[in-house]
Amino acid sequence: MPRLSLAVRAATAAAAVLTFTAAGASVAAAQTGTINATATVLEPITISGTSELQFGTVFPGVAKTIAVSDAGAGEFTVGGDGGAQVAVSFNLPTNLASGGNNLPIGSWAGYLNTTNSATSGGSTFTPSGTAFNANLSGTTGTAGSMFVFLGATVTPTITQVAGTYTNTVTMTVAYTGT
Amino acid sequence: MALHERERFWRRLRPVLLPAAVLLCGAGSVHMRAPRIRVAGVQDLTFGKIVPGVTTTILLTDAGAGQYTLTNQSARTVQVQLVFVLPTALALGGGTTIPISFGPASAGFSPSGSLADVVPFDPAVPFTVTIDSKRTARVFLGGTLQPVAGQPAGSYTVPITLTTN
Amino acid sequence: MTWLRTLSLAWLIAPTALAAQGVLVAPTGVFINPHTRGASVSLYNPGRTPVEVSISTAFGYPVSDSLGHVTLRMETAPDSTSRSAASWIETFPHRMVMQPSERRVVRLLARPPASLPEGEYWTRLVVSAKGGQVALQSPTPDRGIRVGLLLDVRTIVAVYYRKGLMHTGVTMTGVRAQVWHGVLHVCARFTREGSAAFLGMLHVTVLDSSGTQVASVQRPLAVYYSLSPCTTTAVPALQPGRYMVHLLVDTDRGDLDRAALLPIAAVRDSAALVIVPRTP
Repeated sequence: MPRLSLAVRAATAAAAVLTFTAAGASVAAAQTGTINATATVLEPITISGTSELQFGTVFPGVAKTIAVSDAGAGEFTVGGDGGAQVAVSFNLPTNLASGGNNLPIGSWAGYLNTTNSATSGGSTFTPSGTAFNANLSGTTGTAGSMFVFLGATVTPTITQVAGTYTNTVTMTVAYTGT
Repeated sequence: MALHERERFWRRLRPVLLPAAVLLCGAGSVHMRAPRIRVAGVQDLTFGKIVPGVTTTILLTDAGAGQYTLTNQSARTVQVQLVFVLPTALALGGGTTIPISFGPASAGFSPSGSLADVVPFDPAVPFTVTIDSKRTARVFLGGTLQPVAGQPAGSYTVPITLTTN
Repeated sequence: MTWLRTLSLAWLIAPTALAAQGVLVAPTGVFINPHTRGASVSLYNPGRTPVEVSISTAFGYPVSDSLGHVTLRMETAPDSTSRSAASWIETFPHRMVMQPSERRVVRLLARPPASLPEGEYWTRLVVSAKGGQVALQSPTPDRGIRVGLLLDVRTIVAVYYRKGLMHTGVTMTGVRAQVWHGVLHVCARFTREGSAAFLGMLHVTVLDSSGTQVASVQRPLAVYYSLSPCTTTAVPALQPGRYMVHLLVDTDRGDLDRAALLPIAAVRDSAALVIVPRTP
């Protein structure tokens, strides 16, 4: 067998490689599938009590008042769409009851603010069954809030019978934008 | 090399080189065979109605989890790698978005297609699976949405793609 | 001995509490039609204590008084000519106890009379959330005056039932504006047109004499029959001079399902505003 030239040997080898490669070349294409993630955001209205109305120590015959700016004042927060208007009203008891005994409660006082302060930037109101309007802070499309502070006076008699005196305070918030 | 010897050499090579040349002329491209695994998105990841400020999670086992089917059309068991293109947020339009996140067990692979034998995995990391011949496996996907307190109301959406390699 | 008698009467009460709790209700407007037959409302307890929740329906709609305040008129016994859906929209469940951070869904199902004419019918969904008995503390648990107050928080949102093709509109008249103690009051009378309540947005902008916007405010607007609200916004920096107050009413609401909002052509009007210098 005569010796082949370098060029011939290279061409032959390349042809063999390419021939082998061309005859066996097949690739599976990558496959994809697509879904969507979906969600519908609902605009809520939220009412929550954030601070308890605390009368602390109460003595028979000694009226005790908690002012809206006192540390023991009750506080509620209303949250919702910024700038939303709500109608707020209260159903307030005049007595707290323990069995057949009553403990008068009254002189309810209120303070309304769009910031969490019971001393400035807001307005006083007298809580009652008559609804009043208030607007949450902010503008539509942002989170808005409103803060309501409550105070009251309990008037135990000198012969107030010991016991647990209770009743229910109802705060109603109606969204007026719908 | 003498001339008659070179001629004898090329006559011997001709049967090899000629078919090779024909093949080279014909094999100008790589042949793409039919896919052995067919992937399809069959159910959206549905968070439903959510409220601002409240984080909502869909587990891979929940009814709202997204689902893909992977069908092995070949006659052999096939091993493939699952790769997700995960979004970072759902969109309302106009630039309003809700962040979405996925955890190490947000996705699950079931060779039988049911939750009974699902194996959780991290959708952020390519995951290699095996699918038997002529079987349809299933991939489940959950996630977590974190709408902010002032999230605007509306319908949000984003596509999620699964690729097999 | 007087001081002993006084001491014996000094029944001490440790801090007493008004239970703190509440509920998140979404959405604030729910829409039902004969095809859907129902809808759902999401509730969420954001507090740290369980709350007892009760759900009911009542007929009501926004009205305004002579001062422009908007409240809800609730009618416990609406007559047959009213658009009340309160008697035939049911809620499931009616009561539940929600644990802290728990989310629940309330289903609404409409069962209207077979002969119900086409139109839009309304009811209000009243969601009451009541906490448990307050935990009272006392140094002398077996005696003394103990005061406990239960808090019942009620949230009221709107529900609409639409049968047939709906259309709506609103007219705006009687626009007037004034500034009182640094607060801008803009009042107008809105009257509904069409077969459905108008749900939209009122945009108020104030321009000075050079056309520069110096104040603006937006408020959602819901007109069922007629409404004369006054919209207010603080404008402490407005100087004496002449201004124009522009009002625009459209349906650009981000808080409601946009698919449920009925389109209208925008309604516009304006009023002049003059701020006079304060006399010293």
